Amino acid sequence: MKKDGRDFHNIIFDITTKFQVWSIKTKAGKLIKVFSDKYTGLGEFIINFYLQLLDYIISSQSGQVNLEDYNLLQLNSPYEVISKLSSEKIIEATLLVFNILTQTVLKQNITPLFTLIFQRNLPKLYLIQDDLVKEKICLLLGNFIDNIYLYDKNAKEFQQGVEFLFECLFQFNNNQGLSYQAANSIKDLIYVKKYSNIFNNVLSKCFSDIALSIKENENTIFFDVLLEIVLFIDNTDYTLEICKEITLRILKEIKTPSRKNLNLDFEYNDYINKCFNVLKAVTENKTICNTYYVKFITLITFIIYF
Amino acid sequence: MEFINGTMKIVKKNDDISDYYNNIVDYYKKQFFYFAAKLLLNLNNQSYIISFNNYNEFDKKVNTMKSRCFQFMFYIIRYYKDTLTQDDEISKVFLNVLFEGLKTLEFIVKDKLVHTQNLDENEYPDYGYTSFICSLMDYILIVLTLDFVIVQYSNNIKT
Repeated sequence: MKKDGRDFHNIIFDITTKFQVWSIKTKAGKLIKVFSDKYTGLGEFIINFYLQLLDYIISSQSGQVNLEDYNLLQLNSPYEVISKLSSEKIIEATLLVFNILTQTVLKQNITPLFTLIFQRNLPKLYLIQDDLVKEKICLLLGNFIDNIYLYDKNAKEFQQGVEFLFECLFQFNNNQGLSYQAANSIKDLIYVKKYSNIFNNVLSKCFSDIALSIKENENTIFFDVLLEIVLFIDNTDYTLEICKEITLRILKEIKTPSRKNLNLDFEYNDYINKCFNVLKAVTENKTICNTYYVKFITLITFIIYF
Repeated sequence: MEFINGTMKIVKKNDDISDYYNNIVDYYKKQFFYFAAKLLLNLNNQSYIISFNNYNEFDKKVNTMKSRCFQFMFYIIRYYKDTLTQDDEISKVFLNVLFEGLKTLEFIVKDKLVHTQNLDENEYPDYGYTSFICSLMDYILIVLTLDFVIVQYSNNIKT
């Protein structure tokens, strides 16, 4: 997880969605998914069970709770096994199950309870320092934040979620997997037009960090995030700054390729390709092109003649 | 090739041989299936299908072979999937293996949970456990999603 973020991200994607790798976790994910589809009501039972479990675990960390209030946890067999695990492991597995059964969570009879439990517990989940849990929260926010928080009513909490994602995005040096997952979730949300205000607010706080990290960042999905900022966040200052930093990054990659691309040909350098995609997106912004085309052309020609 | 009522029809001269050949293949497929099931259930006379003897080489040999038996049975069931009914002789055999498999999976999850948790992290030598558990889960998946099994289970729940 910490060393090869892209691989880790692919593994999690496989466990929750693709089910192709030959591993125990993938097979377990596939079992849950297929059985929920085939047996009517099983998916709802699993979601309800894990919602109760999550609520119980988090509530018991902050104070005394009565196990008898959670009727599904009274079923001895599953709870007996699960209770042997650490609370972080349980929370991680719980969040993973919700991400496997995305379709079931979005059913009408499940969503209200799901929303209620997460509105109550998400702020506490943000405080957990376990990277695997953080990574699953990012995955969950990418899939369900718009179901948990209504954009109109809970703008503040929504923004808190987006800030959490950006916070994780900058963890690349400590934990690549977390950064990849956060970038992916941001990518899934940022293009929704009605959220652009929230993203504008968050970017106003952290854009300088984003611009700074363009020079060094090795997270390939981070460049997709930049692309979407250019395309969907209508802010000329951000776009120009990104354009400038991206150009410098291309020059840097040509001179000294990043670690991962050392053995590869210049043409196959992922970062250069991604950077050019961002620049291409800048040209689609008519306001910028009309105002700054001379500056822009100078930058591009500089790269061409390098 | 013949023309019947103005349309061309290919007439097989060796229909009998082809039937005979198919019957033989079918017979041996079933015999191998029974053999694989027997190997799975009886090999080391343990209470569970998996061999879990403190991580030794014996585990590796037995578990690798049993994974292959599971995979073989998986393909046979997939082959007969659409034609199988509850009353087929073969159905009784794979349901028997299924129940033993479920018991084994429960044993792994309950008693060997700490070990299996670490399988992905290569902290312990594997000795065929990962492969065995994956094959077992594939097997459970295909059997429990057969139409007549789903009907049978839902009837059991109703009664």
